[in-house]
Amino acid sequence: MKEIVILSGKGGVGKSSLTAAVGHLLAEKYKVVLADTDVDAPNLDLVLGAELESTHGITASDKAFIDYDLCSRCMECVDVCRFSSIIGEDEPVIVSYSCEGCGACTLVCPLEAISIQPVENGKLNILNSGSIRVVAGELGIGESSSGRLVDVVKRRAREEAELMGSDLLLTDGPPGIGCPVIASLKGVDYAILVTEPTPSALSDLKRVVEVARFFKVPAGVVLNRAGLHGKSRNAVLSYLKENELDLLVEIPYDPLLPKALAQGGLAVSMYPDAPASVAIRELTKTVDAMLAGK
Amino acid sequence: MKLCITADGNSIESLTDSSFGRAPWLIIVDTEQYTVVEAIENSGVNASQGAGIAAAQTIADKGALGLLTGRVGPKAQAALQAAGVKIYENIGRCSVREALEQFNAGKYQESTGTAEYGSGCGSGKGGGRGSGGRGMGRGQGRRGGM
Amino acid sequence: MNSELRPEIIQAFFKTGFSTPVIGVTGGKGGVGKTTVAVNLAAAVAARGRKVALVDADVDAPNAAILLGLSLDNPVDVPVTQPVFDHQKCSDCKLCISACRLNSLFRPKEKTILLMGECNGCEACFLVCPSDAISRGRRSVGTTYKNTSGKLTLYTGELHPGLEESALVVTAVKKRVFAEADQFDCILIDTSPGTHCNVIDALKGATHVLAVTEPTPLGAHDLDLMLSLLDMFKVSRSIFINRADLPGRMNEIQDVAATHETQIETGLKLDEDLLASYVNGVPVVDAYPDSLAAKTFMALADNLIMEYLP
Repeated sequence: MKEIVILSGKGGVGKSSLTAAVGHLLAEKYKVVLADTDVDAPNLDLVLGAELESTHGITASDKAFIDYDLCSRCMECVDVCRFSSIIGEDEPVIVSYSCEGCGACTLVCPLEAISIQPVENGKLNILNSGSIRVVAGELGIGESSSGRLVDVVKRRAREEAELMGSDLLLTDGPPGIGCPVIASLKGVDYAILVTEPTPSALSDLKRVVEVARFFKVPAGVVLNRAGLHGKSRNAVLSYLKENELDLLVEIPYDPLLPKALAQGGLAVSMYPDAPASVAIRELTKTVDAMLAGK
Repeated sequence: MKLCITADGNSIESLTDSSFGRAPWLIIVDTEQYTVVEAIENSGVNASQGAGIAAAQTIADKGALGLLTGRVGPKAQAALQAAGVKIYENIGRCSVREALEQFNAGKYQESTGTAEYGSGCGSGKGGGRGSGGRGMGRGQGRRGGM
Repeated sequence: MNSELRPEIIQAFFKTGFSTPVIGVTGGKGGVGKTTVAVNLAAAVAARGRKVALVDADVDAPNAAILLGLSLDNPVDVPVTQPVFDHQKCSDCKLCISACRLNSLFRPKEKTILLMGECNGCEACFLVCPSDAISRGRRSVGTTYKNTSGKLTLYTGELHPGLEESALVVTAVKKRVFAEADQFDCILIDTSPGTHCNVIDALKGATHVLAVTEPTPLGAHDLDLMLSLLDMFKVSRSIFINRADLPGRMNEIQDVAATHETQIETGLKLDEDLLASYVNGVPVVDAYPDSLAAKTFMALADNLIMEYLP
């Protein structure tokens, strides 16, 4: 079973749409599991029109809790927290959204009034779109430990893939380069990096390439909305050449893509002859060849 | 010698488990006697982070000289190397007994890749990645332009 | 997270210690145009002669400097404390190993403790060591920068790629600007995408928040999440609809807005002028002052100035 993650650095360049489209096309030949690890804003199900099969609460976060019956209000814990997550004048109050669950406060409390407990910080959703199995993580609003939630999603997605006898696990990754992105990269065979021809997107691409290289994950690049800005397109192509990164495909800016999305469908299904759809099928062929070759 | 094998259960007939930090059981076997010296329930299964390092600590504390498992991540690999524990990966999905037979027949090669000591941080080209043996294991990598 | 936050937490969210108004620009969905809006709004406020601080708290991928055509100057390192072990003093009690909830400390042999895993600087190990064998070292997790161009000062936070400590860098860049808040008439904060704790930290102290969205199914979905987050803290907010040219789901945005009793402040279509200014690194209010985009931002700036600036 091969694992491919789709990342971008920059948000909004079309990761989810591309993951859905490629997954949809590959499902004609392979047994495909899709994982949505953009846990802050999982959108894969929306793009695919997937149906929810089950949802489970996930506890992948630890927080401090004060038992006020035991607490003597000595306020020792307030000073020891390195994350400014205990506040209060008359009694200590844990600021749970920034609490890291490190337990330092439990070590200084003279009365053992503080404990670290696991809390539910998100949901794991299992969905189906035709023959495609989707495992999506959804971080609770304001919650933390998105990286750990990504780990849970990936583990479950791998289990589903094993159950299905699946050949391919395709993961829609989070934006940025932080903890959840690193979690989404671990153990994958290949990273598809989506970018667009603007200076911001190129800057973010460089950062995510650095992260992929650091974790020794081979990567190739998709240039979306390729005709948006000629000068920036040249900058992207030069960067790829200088850094020996494969350009997997260029997808032209195509108003039919957002149009299909607004109608709740995929452009590759609704407008198969659209220039963007043609390019996406070309990308899919490349991925197919990679799967066969490796 | 004492060898640790990751498994689903606590006996020599249990099935092996390919994950290291998250394996339900860490079984210390005597490779000559084919006996279970000790079967340790892996508390790291529910650990938020560092399950691999925690498991490595268990193995080091029990005096095992080798570890036979599926795959070891870079941090746990560095820890095991620091403790002088030899790593054997790609364990077959079979009983612990059969895995031990394969081990004694020389089926498993020692994994000797250099662990990125404390990898997972300190990126940047070349500079800042600690090498084995230095005390802190955290590179001071600076962001290099690509 | 509990939808009912204790009043102390809400109070702490708003407390700043200065009177300069803070406007947060956020959005939930990646790529809706938060930074574009933040940068242009900041430029518009500056064009009205007010001193404005723009804070780029999207530390994973800070782009405000690119959109402003500014380099990153005046670097200040963002460190995290790391334990350094003196093996001579170590009594081999192993308390540090059990105190570390990240399981990052490893003891390969007697009286030898190594930091092998992630360390977030919580200092639990320091607290338990009975032998004074641990001292405080440091590791760099990122950098903050400060650049001034006319009436606009840009503060940027940047996480080193490959690291996980975004929260520390967000806190650091906010601290840097808040320490100098009295110098400015207004502070604008550009956050990262999402609704996680780093976004909350970036928005702390906000007098008002602009929720940027786009009229697509994904935009509406993520706007709903963002407004739910803002509801928890009872933050004053309004909506900016970017890419108003995209087909379709304007009514969904309106529904979401109504559900959260939030006004739509204004909207903007992507046109050639805005795109050109975006790729050329000049705010549209400076590059094309007569364009519709520029006028929209100037009007927005005027409204916010009237409402929030002294």
